[in-house]
Amino acid sequence: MRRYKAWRADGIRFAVRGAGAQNFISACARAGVRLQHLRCTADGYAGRAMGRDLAQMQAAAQRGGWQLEILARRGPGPLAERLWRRPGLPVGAALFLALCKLLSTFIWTIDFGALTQEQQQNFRQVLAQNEICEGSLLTQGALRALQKQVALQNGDYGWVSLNFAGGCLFVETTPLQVQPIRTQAQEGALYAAANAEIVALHLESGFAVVGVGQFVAQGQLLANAVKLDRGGDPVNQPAVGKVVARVEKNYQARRSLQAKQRLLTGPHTEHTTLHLLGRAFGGQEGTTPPDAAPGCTQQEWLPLQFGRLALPGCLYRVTCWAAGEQAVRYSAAAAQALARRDCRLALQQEFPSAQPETLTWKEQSTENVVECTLRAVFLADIAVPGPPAAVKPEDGD
Amino acid sequence: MKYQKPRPHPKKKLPEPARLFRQPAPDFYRLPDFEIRGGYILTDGCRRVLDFDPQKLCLDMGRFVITFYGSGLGIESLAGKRLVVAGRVERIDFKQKWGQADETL
Repeated sequence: MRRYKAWRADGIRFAVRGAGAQNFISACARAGVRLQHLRCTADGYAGRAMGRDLAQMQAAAQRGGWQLEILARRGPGPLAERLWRRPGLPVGAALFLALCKLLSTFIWTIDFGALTQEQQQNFRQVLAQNEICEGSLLTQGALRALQKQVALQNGDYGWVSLNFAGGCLFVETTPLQVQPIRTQAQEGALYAAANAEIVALHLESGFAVVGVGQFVAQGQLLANAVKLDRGGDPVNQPAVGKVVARVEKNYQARRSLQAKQRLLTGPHTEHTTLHLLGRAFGGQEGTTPPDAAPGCTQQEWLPLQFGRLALPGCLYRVTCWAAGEQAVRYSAAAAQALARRDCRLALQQEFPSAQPETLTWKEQSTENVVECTLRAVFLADIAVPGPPAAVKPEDGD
Repeated sequence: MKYQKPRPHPKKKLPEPARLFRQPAPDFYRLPDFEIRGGYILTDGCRRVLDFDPQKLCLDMGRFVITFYGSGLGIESLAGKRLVVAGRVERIDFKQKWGQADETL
């Protein structure tokens, strides 16, 4: 009996007085009230009961005309009694905590930190390849595996760290810093890539053959790798460096006013997949319609939000546009701009370090063709490596 | 020592199915039930408490009225029809409500 009292939540000690008070005991028993430790007193009975049965005891005492007196009460108190009347409050709180514990294993939001929108999109694709997005279930083991996968797949960042806490996946990255490693220079000389006037010589090694202000022809030796010393013995030193020269060169490009281009035709298809609580609902992820144009597919991840509150889910939408070959007629200005761009691209491709000084354009238009000629004067590194040239004895000092 | 022939064991009678499934005595389940546990007397089937003082506890058990006599009697627990009597019980009287002979235990 004492052990039972130990875990009792709320208890009262009462005394009942009046004529025929033993009938109060029977009335309480019929009402389902559990009475304990009933003892006789001078004018009635005293005992113990549960606090939750007090209302029924008072009703029974009122019906029988007995006087019920509460001698003492103990237990959690009025607050717990009010909670007992509204069990939804503690049950709701317990359910909320349990759901918070359970749902914290799902990804509610992804914090990309300082990544730009384009980098975020690229990183999302890397995560999607590992089936990670808002609403996915992520355990610590899966997080470590994901970290390895991301480190292997992602070559745009120097260091990538993924941290998952409280339903938020933090992505921390550092930019990739490329440190070129210079290989040992091969035995070779430098030759001119075009007719030019030498402006500056920035040789790191080797022996210059030309000087500043000198005009050189295409293929002319600029710096040699061999030189004879006073004794006539060859001294080898590979020619490495830049030879900046002023080049004057013409580029020509033609553009037709009519061309066939692959253009978007208008119709498109959308596949939307809902990722929620570790499950996917809707279309098949990663599938594209058969008539989709290559390169005309857009992937979107739309995190679910309720106001400003993130929810553990996201919508994954794949939009594919159809494309086809269509005849396009350019205007004269557009064709001229395209021809100019072709000329610039040719210059940039031939001399990547070119710094234009003067660009003179000349266009000729016919009925269907626009021809553009660029006369460019620019500074560029004209040195190209080649085999070392033979040295005559009289060339040495 | 003279050999004594062992007595044959009496053959056990097989239980008769009719006896196994025979109806119990009339009002078998209405008889009062008592159980002594840890110094308390547990009763099942108490309908009312007719009288209660430290020397006497009278209970309505349906067809029977049972009275406990003793000293320091009390009701340790009463929940529904289960009642636990505490105290020193010296005598228990059984009385049928409708004109049967009394019995004392």
